[in-house]
Amino acid sequence: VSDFSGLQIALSALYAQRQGLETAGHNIANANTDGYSRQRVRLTAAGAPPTAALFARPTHLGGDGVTVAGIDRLRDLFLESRGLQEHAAGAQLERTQQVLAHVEDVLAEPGDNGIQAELGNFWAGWDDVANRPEDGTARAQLLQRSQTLASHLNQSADALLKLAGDASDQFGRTVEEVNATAGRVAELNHAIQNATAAGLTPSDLADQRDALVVKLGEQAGVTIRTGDRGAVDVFLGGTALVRGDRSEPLAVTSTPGTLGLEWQRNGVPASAPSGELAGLLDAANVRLPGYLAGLDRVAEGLEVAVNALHTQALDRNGNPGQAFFTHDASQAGSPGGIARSLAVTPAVAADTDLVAVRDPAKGPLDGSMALRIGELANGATGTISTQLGAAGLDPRGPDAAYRAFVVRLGVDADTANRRVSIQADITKQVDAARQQQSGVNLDEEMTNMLAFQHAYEAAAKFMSTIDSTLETLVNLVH
Amino acid sequence: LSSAFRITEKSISASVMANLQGNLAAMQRLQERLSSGRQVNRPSDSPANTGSALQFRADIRRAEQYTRNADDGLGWLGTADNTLTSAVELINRAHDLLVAAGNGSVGGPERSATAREVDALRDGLVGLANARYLDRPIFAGTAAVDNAYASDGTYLGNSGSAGQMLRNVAPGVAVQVNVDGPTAFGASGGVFQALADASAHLDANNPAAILADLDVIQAAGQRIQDQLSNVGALYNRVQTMRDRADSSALNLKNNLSDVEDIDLPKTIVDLQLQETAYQSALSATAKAIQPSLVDFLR
Repeated sequence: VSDFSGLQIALSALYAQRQGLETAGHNIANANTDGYSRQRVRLTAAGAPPTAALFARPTHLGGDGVTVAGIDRLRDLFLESRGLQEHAAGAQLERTQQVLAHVEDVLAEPGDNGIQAELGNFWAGWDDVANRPEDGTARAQLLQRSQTLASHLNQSADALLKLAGDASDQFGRTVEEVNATAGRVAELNHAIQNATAAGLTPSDLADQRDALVVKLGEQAGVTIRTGDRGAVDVFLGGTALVRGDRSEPLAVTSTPGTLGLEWQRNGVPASAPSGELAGLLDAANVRLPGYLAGLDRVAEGLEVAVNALHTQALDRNGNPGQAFFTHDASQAGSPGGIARSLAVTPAVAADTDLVAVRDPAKGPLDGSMALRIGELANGATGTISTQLGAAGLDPRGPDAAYRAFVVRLGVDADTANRRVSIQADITKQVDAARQQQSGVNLDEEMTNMLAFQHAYEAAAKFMSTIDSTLETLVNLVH
Repeated sequence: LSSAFRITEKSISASVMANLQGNLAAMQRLQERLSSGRQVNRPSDSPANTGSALQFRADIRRAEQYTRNADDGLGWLGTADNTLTSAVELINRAHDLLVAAGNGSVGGPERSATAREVDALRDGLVGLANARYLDRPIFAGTAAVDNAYASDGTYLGNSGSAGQMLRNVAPGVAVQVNVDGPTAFGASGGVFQALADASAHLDANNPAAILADLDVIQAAGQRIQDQLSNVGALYNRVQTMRDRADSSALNLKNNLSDVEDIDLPKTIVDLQLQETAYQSALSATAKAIQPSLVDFLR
């Protein structure tokens, strides 16, 4: 045993306790930093050899003090994975909820300004014409109401199409963001690997990277796996988005009406299992086209039912009635095409005499066809119902089809709202569990600070004691 | 296990924030309801109530239109009723004149004077048969003509099912609101011809023929009388339908209000409870976040 080894022990203790104090300070400094994981100094007693060496003499019975073995980052990978998964599910549901809320705004039901109210006015207009078939004003009013109804349907379909377009645009922007974030994760992985190779513990770099990974999770629903030398590999539906220090960029594919995702390098289709991308994809590919198709069925039902009766009637000139409503046939194939282009046949719209309400068996001032059209308000019956059914439309008539459509939207939106609030609770619990593991508790840090402070003071005292024993020894020589 | 229940300042503040946010969101929902006066503002607020609200709204609009249709029908039937009442009076007057003129003691000049009076009655009857409502002859059916009868008593309109004018007054119920001209006044000629004949027989001073004409005119009067009671029955029926449509619109409006509007006292009480909850959450938060070990160290 060297005479000065006591000083060495005191010094190592001073270093170690200083490190402990600094770590507590660092933790306190980052108590409110997002994504920060608390750190803890791992101390080990120094000097005690693992196995006794041959010829070792028992002169040195104690240890050599303390060493800082490392600084641990307290983080539970399992909880982090759960967190990623739940945040991704939450982000997806929130997207869906947003889209459905927008659709509800577009329809403005139930209310006095919705399509239902326009339908009511439209049917009532036919009754007014039936009451006074000879009166041009009643016919003009009917045409006005018909055009209002048609343009309301047009605008609603346009608004839904615009929502679908917005969802596609946002999908593109999010994919770009995912690519940028994945690139940044790869860079950080690279820095972490280098630092780890140099024997450092890059806890704060790891925190930065993990925050980005959480963002990737919310955007694309990624999963993670621990990689080499402190790196984290990020997977998207089983394929690596980031592996070590390399990231794989994604690209948007967009065949008309269907949005998709592929790997830029080889064009292989990719899929986002959850997260914002999944929500946007669902909105643009499934939900909005579904609602547009629903609106189409309402518009087509209106057209088929009214035209069926209108063409049986005679107009004021004694000619058979033309189709009352028409739509752009070239758009009929695309979702929302019929609802978007439904209009009163231009010739009829221009001439009130062409509104046909006369039963061919009756006199010129008859309006009984208008009576029958007006009664469609109570639902389609008989041949009209059969005709609607044959065209694959709601046989109960356009009003019932519209009501069913709005109720379905309500159920969808209600379900989404409930799922979002349930998911928010789950996410909150997982976040609380993560926070339990890696959050900073100030009381705990203060306690650690006290412990390290006292140990530091004691080590200093120990050093001065060794100093005074050495002084006693040196003074003996005089 | 104790480490599994670590609580940190950040998790406290996060959960406090979440709870306060939840409180505030609930308050905002209540305030939205209170200011809009409606509990169903969008379909997702209650999909079932939304479906009912849409149905009620459509039904109310329909019931209001039935009221309008019935009002229009009552206008037609009312005009027909007045006209036919006057026509019955005219026929009775003609009948009385002919009974008097048929008496054997009446002389030729007196019969001629009666003939002029009968001619005037006939013209008046043609005028009644051409009565108009909203500038349409009410006995001409659905034909586009200026008059139902020409001055010589020829019927110009159409009759039977082709001349029927119908009004929607209840779901699936269309009621006829016009009277067929020929049914009331007889086909071309009809009562007009009978009066013209009577006038000619009066001029010809032929008491036997005049007495024969009396029967024909009485029968014509009976036809008009029949139509008058028919119109009365129709009028009553349409009136009943109108009242029913009115009251059903009122009921439907109540139903709509039940599913769509808020219960005001309940919402106000809810809002006050929510405010109290929010305030106590705030004061609890202020107490809970304050103490920390830092306060107790030198």
